Amino acid sequence: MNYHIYMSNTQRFSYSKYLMLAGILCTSITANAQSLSERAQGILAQHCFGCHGAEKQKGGLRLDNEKDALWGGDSAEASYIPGKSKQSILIQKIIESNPQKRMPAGKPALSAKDIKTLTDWVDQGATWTKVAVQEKSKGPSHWSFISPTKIDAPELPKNFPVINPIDAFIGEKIKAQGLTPMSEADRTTLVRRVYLETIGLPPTPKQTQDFVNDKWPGAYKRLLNRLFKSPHYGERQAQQWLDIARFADTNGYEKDKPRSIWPYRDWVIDAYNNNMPYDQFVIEQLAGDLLPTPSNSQIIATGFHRNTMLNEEGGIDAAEDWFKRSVDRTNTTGAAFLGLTVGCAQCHTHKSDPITRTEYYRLFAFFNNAQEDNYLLPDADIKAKRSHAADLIEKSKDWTVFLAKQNDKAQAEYAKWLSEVTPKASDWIVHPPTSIHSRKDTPLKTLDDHSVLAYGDVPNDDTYTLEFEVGGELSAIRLEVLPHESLHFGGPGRGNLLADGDFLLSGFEAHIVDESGEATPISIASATHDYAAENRSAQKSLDGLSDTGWSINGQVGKAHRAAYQLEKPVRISSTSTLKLVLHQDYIHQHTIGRLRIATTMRDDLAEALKVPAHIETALFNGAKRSDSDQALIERHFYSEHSKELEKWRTRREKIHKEQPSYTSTLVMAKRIPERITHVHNRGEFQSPKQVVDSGVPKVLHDFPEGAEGTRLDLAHWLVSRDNPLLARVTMNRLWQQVFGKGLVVTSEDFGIEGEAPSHPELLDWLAIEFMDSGWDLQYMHRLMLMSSTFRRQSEVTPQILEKDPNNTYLARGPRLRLDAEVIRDLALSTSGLLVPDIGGPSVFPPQPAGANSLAYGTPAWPTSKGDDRYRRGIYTYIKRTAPYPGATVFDAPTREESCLRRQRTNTPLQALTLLNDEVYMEAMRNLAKAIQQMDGNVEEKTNHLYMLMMSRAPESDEIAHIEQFFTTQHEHFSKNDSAARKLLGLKKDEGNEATSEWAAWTALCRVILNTDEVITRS
Amino acid sequence: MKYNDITRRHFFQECGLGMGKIALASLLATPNTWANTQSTIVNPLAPRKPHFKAKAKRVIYLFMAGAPSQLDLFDHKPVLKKFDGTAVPESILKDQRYAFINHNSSMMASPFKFKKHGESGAELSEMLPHLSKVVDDVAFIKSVYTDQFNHAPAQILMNSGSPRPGHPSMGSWVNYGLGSEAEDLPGFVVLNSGGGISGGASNWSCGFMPTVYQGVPFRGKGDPILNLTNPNGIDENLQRESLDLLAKLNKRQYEDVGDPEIESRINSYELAYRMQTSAPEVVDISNEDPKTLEMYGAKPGEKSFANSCILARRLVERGVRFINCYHSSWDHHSNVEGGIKGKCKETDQAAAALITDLKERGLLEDTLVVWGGEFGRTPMVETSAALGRSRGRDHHPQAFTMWMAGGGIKGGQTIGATDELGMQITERPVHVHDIQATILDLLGLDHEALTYRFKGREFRLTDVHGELIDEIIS
Repeated sequence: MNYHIYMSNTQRFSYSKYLMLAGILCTSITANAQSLSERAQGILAQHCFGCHGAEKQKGGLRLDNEKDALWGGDSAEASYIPGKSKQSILIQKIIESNPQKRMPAGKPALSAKDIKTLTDWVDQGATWTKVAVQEKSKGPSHWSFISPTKIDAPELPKNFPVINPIDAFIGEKIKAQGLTPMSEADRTTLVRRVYLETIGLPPTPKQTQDFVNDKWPGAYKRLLNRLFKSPHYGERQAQQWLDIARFADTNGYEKDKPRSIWPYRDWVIDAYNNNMPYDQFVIEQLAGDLLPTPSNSQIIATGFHRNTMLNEEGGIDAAEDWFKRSVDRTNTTGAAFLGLTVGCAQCHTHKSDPITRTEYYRLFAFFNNAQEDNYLLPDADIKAKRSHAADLIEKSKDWTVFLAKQNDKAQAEYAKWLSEVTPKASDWIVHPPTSIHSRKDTPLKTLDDHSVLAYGDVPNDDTYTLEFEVGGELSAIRLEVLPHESLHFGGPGRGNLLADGDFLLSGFEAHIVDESGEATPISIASATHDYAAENRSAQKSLDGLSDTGWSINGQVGKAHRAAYQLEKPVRISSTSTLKLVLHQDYIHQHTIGRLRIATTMRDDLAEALKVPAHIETALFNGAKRSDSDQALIERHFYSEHSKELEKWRTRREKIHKEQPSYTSTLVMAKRIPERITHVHNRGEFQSPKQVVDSGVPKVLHDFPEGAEGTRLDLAHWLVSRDNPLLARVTMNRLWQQVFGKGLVVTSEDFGIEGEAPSHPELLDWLAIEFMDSGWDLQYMHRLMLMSSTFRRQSEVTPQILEKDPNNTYLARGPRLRLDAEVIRDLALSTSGLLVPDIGGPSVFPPQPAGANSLAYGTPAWPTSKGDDRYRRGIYTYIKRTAPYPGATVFDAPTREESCLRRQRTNTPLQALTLLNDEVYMEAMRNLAKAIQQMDGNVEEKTNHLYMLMMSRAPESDEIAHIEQFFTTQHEHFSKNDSAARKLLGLKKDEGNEATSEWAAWTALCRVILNTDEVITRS
Repeated sequence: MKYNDITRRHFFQECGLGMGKIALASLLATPNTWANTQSTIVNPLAPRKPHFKAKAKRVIYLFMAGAPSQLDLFDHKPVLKKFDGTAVPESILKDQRYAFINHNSSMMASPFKFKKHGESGAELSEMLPHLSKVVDDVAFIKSVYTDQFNHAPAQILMNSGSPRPGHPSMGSWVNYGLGSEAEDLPGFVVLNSGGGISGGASNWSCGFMPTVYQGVPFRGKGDPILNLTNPNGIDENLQRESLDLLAKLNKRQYEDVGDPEIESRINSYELAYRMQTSAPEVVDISNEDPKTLEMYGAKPGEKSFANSCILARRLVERGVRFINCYHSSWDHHSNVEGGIKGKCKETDQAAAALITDLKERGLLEDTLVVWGGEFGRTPMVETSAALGRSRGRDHHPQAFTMWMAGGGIKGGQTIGATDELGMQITERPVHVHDIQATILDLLGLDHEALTYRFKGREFRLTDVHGELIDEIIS
């Protein structure tokens, strides 16, 4: 039986643009009724479903749907009687005075507001607007799961200012609330408001004047045109997205090491500046790498999901941290693109929204099946320089040989070396493996040169078992560990925790496996190596201990060799195989990335030589050596071993080191082979249950048939026109940015527990307009800014304060404290210090001493010098465990997880920052200097100061206060020269007759910066 | 339609529609509803009534970062002596995850002697001679366990109830629930006498709550609070005059615009001004009685745990609600003997002195003192040639010891026990969430009712867990 009732969304009529007043009333009544029943069911969901829902039915009572609620519990008495709250048990139970009998049991009583909502709801007939979780198969009924429908804007009386449909929707509610809209703000207020909103910088006095004096019609529109073209537009607009993307410059957790991902930040800025269509914006960030022939910028965009934290603490379980990162990716995707708190379903089926735990892990599977990668940004200039350096090194080898041949000492050295090394060279035969196995299921593949390469996830530890058809006698086994471009720091190890590019071979075993599969161990006498880190010789891989072994720390990026000498030669028949077991039992992902096996048979010791394999082969050929072999050996000796040519090698190292490196950025890549995803019981990594495929929640639109279930498919599904959420959620956040809070206040939650939209028709109208425009963000932003709603005065009149203290109905313009970054930018730009460069690596502006003294390892803060000291706030280095205090104090999030809505607080620590922080003092000293040096009296100077900081002229009483303060302080500093010099940071011999005046202006500018008006967008 | 400015200003001035009425209404609201209203007029730190009668009003949490070895301090295991150097049977360890050691490690006995103390007969290591004297005021819990085995997640779990950064810490929850009684100091102060902390700022973060609930680090060197001191060249008089001018301009703006947020800002500046005097005063311990300094082992001007403890006492005297004293470097993967000796020398005397001092001043009865790390340490030895370690102990999340004293705590008792090797809990397991639930309960807060709505969910410090440790409550 399908007993849920669709409400207003299906009952809406399509009104013509010039609809009748009756029509307006009709929609608003429907909207109110919907809102009451939604609120009532929200209260039931929050307070009652825990015991009387799908999972538990205490006393047999279930309150999550109409039928069961009316049926009642074990007493079989209806829990409420529609229209009669007094006779309804539900209401009696929640207002019960005896806490022992009151519901919810063992919890505080419901608030008076909630009680009233439920009572009203029952009295008004107790309409159910949505079905509970279990009814989802019958189709969605929660408003946000139903596609938006566009209705034409209502018509309003003439005295309501309507510039575009936004004003009509807003005006309708203002009227219904009995409020009066404020008139348009004056031009000085407006110009400052719109500058701060679009580019995040205040207008200069000239820019203000230009707008104020532009008497031609369309002045405001022209102003917007200018601002939308500014390259600073993208910087300001990117801010909110970077909060959502949790962009930061460090990995988080204990080690909190630096990472390079700023190209992603610049990608976001560019996307906003270029007005990238929003559907493309979503696709590129989620799956840019999977697009056909992706561009650099599309690959960089996938940094979106690389902004997750990474735990590199000693002893971490790498697989568990990957799980946590995938959880973060899933939750962030849900919040950012669907406005849903899918994270709630990580541990159990969502308590209120129709998302099951299985569906959560199907969504999770999209990200579980991705690979993290480090992308080197192609750069023609760097490429040319690097190839030039490589050429130089290669050519100079010829030169070395030439030089060496003129040098008798070098010649003698060579002859000696050759006579020593030649007999040691062995006839190594390289064998391709016939079978490969990893204890941790690490994917391993054989390359053309018979070497074995590990790829995919790096486990904490591993054991490789390899088998070879040797077919002959052997006395020694050689293990080559080889670099590869796919490995961390070039390899040969896979270590990326603690020691990059290293490995630790903790054990080495050899066996003969006969036809029947029976293995007989081969005893190994000793091991040699070409190189080993201190205390980590190849011999240690034979000591039976799991935390000792062979490692090459200090010579990462190069090929190395170990040779295992057998106790006595063994013969392996053609029907048997040689089995090698390589234990890498140490923690920290110290496993081998690429290796190659060879064997030899000789009567004496077969050593691991300090020459690469191909040189050893050339050496072994001895007298039969060809000329080209001879040249190869010479070249190798002179360039790598000759003491006489040490200087040359130093120079070569220098060239090598000084060649520029490519900028790298963290990106996502396709994972091969695919990873299997499980449902995890209670959301715990260690409790995997049944296997699931990637997929999307049933309550939303269908996943396209035939789609493979890649991230790209997910991205296309998200931007589908059928998605009821993406456009709404995005428009709501833009509204939140422009007006201070969203039409749905809980911009992170459009689910059943989220707040209902204050203006549902407007939200739908915006969503559809947005999609119709081709997902054009700037077009929508411009619509909002053009609206009369945005342009209203922001004064809080007694009427508004009383009737609408939170400004939900927007009878007045928004009045908002500026974001942390904008406060910084404002101080720098008004004082002339701002360096407006766009993009590049993050910078380190001054911060108070000791600000990061509590972070692990007490990291240094390398305060930027020169231009980088004065960059915009968006470029400040974000260290997660010790975030920039000047930013967090003004509510900038720490970027540990996605933040969809910043708080706006008002604290004494903010006061201390603005009053005393060196960043602001330096700016105010600079500003004061400019003010002091300009022509004019105090009043004229004050006028300029106000125009800079507040974009308006001061009024006479303000001038009076300021003149009085200035005169007092000027006098004070005239008498206290040293105080003036201290304030200005001047040395004893610096300063002149104007010093005291400059100091007085500094003190004054400091006060003005701290005024509410300056740090507020009014 | 334009509103007449004169009228509006007149209204605010003459009719005196101040914050009073509105603010009062907001303050009367219950803690779990008011913070989510969009009104900007609320003072989020105004003192609020607890859910029920509180036994403690404030907390001093001595956080031993790095995780001290319970086996060398509290949990005496004579059997380990017998098995010292022998491998632990594989069956005992098979399902455990450890950070560094192997499953075939040997057991290691504590090098320290243990003795019973006080009327309660609490057994303590010889490394805690000072704590031994106050054991009758202390309740030991030998059966605490956690589900994290790496420092940062475990510390963040202990502080915020979640192993992932981004959730409010205990001090934030307490200030959110009870407000602050400190007139001119933050309600949640963080002190650190050791090196940097693994979990970093997440340990005292307000997570998704407003930043007013963030822990404010007081620093040993320079300004106790960042940016507390006036810039050079701004003296007391100029500062006052500056703030007076600022108040005039802001007040004028308020009269013009009527936004209650402005009045709140005016108040913030006055509070900042008072803080400039009160914070340096409170951190200056040089005026303490020399005998008191001696009792703690504190020396003015030094960065030490003793100074943190004495400062914590001064802060509670001034109404600060929650104080975290961090002391790090308990992470003894190698040479646990030397490590414990060093750390105990730095902390034992001061921690015991704090209890004595609070008691003498009548503050212990409503001040809760908590001592503990983020997990325990293994009965097995950690030796690693690769890392150059020997005779250390690895992370052991399965069982460790914490202690509590003061407000609402029934002292002189030991709760819980572990097996003969100290491997697993055998009696009264106490999860981290149970510790948190109990701390909130002692403060009069119901851990299930103290919720904050975020991302569509009512969040709690104790997530969906937490049982009270009934027997610890007096």
